[in-house]
Amino acid sequence: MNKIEFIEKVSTKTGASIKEVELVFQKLIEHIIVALRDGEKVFLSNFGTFLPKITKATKRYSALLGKEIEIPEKFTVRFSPSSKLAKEINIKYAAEEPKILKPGSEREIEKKISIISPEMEKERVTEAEMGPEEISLEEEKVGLFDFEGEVSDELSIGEEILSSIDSTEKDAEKGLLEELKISEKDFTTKNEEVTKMPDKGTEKPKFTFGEDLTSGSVGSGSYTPPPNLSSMTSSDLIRREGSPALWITLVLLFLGIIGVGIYWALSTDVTQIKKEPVIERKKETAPPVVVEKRPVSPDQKKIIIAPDEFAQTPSESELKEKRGMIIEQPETEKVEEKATKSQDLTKKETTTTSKLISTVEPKKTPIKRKVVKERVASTRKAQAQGDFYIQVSSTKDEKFALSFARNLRNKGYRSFVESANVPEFGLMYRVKVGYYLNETDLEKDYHNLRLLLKREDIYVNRK
Amino acid sequence: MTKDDLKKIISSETNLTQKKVEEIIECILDTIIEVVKVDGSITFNNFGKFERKFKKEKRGINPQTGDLVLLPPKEVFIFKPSKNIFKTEE
Repeated sequence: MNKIEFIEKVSTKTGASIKEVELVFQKLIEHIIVALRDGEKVFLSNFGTFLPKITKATKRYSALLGKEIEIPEKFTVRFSPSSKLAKEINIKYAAEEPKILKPGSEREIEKKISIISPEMEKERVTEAEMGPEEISLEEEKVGLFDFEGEVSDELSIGEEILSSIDSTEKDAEKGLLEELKISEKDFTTKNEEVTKMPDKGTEKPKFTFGEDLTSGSVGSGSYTPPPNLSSMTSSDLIRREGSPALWITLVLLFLGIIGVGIYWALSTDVTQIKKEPVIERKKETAPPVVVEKRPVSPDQKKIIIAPDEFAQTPSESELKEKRGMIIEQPETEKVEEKATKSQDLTKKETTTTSKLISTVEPKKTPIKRKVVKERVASTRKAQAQGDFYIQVSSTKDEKFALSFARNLRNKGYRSFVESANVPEFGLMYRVKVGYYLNETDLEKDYHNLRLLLKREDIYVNRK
Repeated sequence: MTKDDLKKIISSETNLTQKKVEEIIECILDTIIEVVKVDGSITFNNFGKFERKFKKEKRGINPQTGDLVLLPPKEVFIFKPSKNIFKTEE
């Protein structure tokens, strides 16, 4: 649709002239652009918002020029349609809902646990609330029943006494009350000992007992329950047997703690005593090892250094001329002879001897040519299957050739060194790869080596 | 910048009443939407292109439940600004 057609359409809708609509439309666009350039949002209700955005200046590498190019900052506009507009346009697919392909595994399980856990917690809470209550009630009941029996037992004794003396004299009553109080105290103490395990049971019965006592004593013998001898005996037995058991346990614990303490003390003493002989033994053991070493070291020297000269005991000046090391050796030997008793000096000796050995040993360097020959033989045995080989280089340096071959071997090529007498140059060392049966493998390695070494001196040859 | 601000500015510049300007602006915006719905796109020179675009169905994950979901296809209203949107006056 053209701009003109669009404006005509608008004019027909509104009834305004085409000029007016055109003017308004141009002005509208201009002002929107100006506002965006200044960095303002343009919010049109039921249509959308125009957001100005500035991209920062950056540096990019261009492959064509092979340089870094600075890209200047850019102004762009983002448009986000209003929710009403988005719904209007997406009428076709509005009814469709997302299909679940695969239900979430981990998160669902977590949620399930979280859902179950509060319920479980509630259940637990209810159990915790209900359980103790029931138990406490039972305990209380038990305590009360026991108590009543006990109370009746002890008070019955008082009643008997009262009956015998005829409870008219007030002094006697007071004395009896005091006695009863004392008995009460004893009872409480005993009761505490017996009923230490349930804490709730002890506290509540006390009050009940005290109330009963006061009321009963003042009222002069209102205790109705008669005494039962059988119950008396049983309860007394329980009390008398229960208390010593606790005492015995406590005493045993004390004894155990004391015993452990004594054991610790003894163990520390034992360790201290034990450690000392161990050290002494070490001291004893250390010197013989040194003694064993001493005869060895001079023998080694004799073997390493010319033995005939050593036997003749030459002068120091002659030795100086030959080797610097030999001058030190007799001195060290003297030191060794002197330091037979002390341990610290023995260590020095060992160090000196080791140094001497280390200094002397490298002089027995093997000849390299033998190694070369051995290697060549081994490689030939392993690779004597085909005829073709690739010659990589030929030099006069042995070291260079060997290192070159080693490097190639590390990279996966079967390389070896061969020596050959060339008429013009003399003895040359040739680095070769191979003995191939197939031509395909040969070609592959040939091209790879060319690429790897970046050289064209490589060539293929037959035996 | 809102519709009211634009209305006031344009009315002051063009000797038209604010009512009429508002009517015209709203009509312009409604017609843009109508045309995009029917035809698919409108282009205005030196401003941009309003377009309706179809987007395929795609996979997604519901972050609350972790379900793997196939989201349905969509049609979206898009505005592409022209290259000359800021060049006209410079």
